[in-house]
Amino acid sequence: MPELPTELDDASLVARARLGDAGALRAIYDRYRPLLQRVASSFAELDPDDADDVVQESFVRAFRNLGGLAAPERLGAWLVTIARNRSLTRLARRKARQEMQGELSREVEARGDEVAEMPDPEAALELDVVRRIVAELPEGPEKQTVHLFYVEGQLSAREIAERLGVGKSAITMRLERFRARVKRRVLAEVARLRGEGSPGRGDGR
Amino acid sequence: MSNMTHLERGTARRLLAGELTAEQARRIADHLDGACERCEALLAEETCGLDGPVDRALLALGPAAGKPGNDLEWARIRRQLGIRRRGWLVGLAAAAAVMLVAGVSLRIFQHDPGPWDGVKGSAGAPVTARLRFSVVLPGAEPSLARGASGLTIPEEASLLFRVEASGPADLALLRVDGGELVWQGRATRAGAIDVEEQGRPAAYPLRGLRGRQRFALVAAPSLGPARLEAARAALASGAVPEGPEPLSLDVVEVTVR
Repeated sequence: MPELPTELDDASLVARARLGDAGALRAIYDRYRPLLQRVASSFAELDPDDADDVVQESFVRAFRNLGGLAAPERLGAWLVTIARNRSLTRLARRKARQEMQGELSREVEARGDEVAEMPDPEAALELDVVRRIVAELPEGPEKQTVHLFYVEGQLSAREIAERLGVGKSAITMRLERFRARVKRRVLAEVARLRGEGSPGRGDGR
Repeated sequence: MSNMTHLERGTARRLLAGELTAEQARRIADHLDGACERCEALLAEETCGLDGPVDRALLALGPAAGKPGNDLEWARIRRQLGIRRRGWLVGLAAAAAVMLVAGVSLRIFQHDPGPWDGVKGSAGAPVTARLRFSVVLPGAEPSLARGASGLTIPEEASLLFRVEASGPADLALLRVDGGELVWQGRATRAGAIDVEEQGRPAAYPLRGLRGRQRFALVAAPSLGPARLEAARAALASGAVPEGPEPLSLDVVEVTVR
């Protein structure tokens, strides 16, 4: 019996998509569309139409570059990275238009879409770190925002701004600040694991 | 990286790439364990390869409540990618399958063997699989013809494929000249399998294709993506796919006019 694309894991879907299987591309789109839309909606300055455009651009960009994806089993993380970069690019272009400052747009455009190729045991630690950080957050606006956006997961950043009665940029800033903290902690964990292992290839100097 | 106090541009990327020593990694870990706004600011700005995994982890905290996909958006994406729609004709194939069961007589198209030099070989393969097909012509009264390699077929026709396998095998049907993976499935035992889409017999439309079209059935007990890609590339270049164990290969050719 033929295996439906929807039943395949990410790596198999990518393999089929690279062979030109349109069904596999559609399955990737269906699987990750909600996630990418959430990424775009974490930027309160983007309205729902912007977010939809970001999603569409992200899939087009991803499918055009599928051949260059080095770790197909990390397809989701790669797509999320692309969606985030597309969101930032859109925001930067808007800002550049508004302020006549093209520099910012060029800077964000230069961001890569790479995904860390870490061994699986390290890849698994991200979720643990995130859960710990959320649990440790002190009560306050940041925790409230993080909870509404990531834990309840129903509202966009724009809708959270309306609900909390604060500016859109404040919500984006809270989410971005929290995300940077998560990155720092994940990087610290990775560094600790690397520090426990054998010496690295280079001397880093 | 200088004397380790704060992260510098590129440090995170080099750490992830395994380019730092264990001692350097330990110093980074010790530093980042403390709340450092300067390093956080740098990480917020710099893409280092952690962004995707971190976002995925963050979004995994709650329900995937983003809007699901829809056909309209998918059509726009497909158009931008230049993907030509070649949907399986499920309804037509189902009607044709009924005709087959009902014993409707088969009309044979003009058979012109032509200069075909197609590959056909399964010598030494642990399983063998054969590709059969029927030609379905749409219309008020769809007609059905037994397929044979070398047929000349009008482009409004579609092909109904059947696979006969000698035993359990992974199967892949490729359109050789377009490098297209037409169908993939698995035979769990010896016997015939009708190519289906979403559980229903499906016909492959020829509309938009012209000239020689070769369809190759590749079979092996296990046919992973890498081997399948190698087989596709070999067939597209006119070679016989090679590998650790022989593949079963059956190629049929039709000419679309």
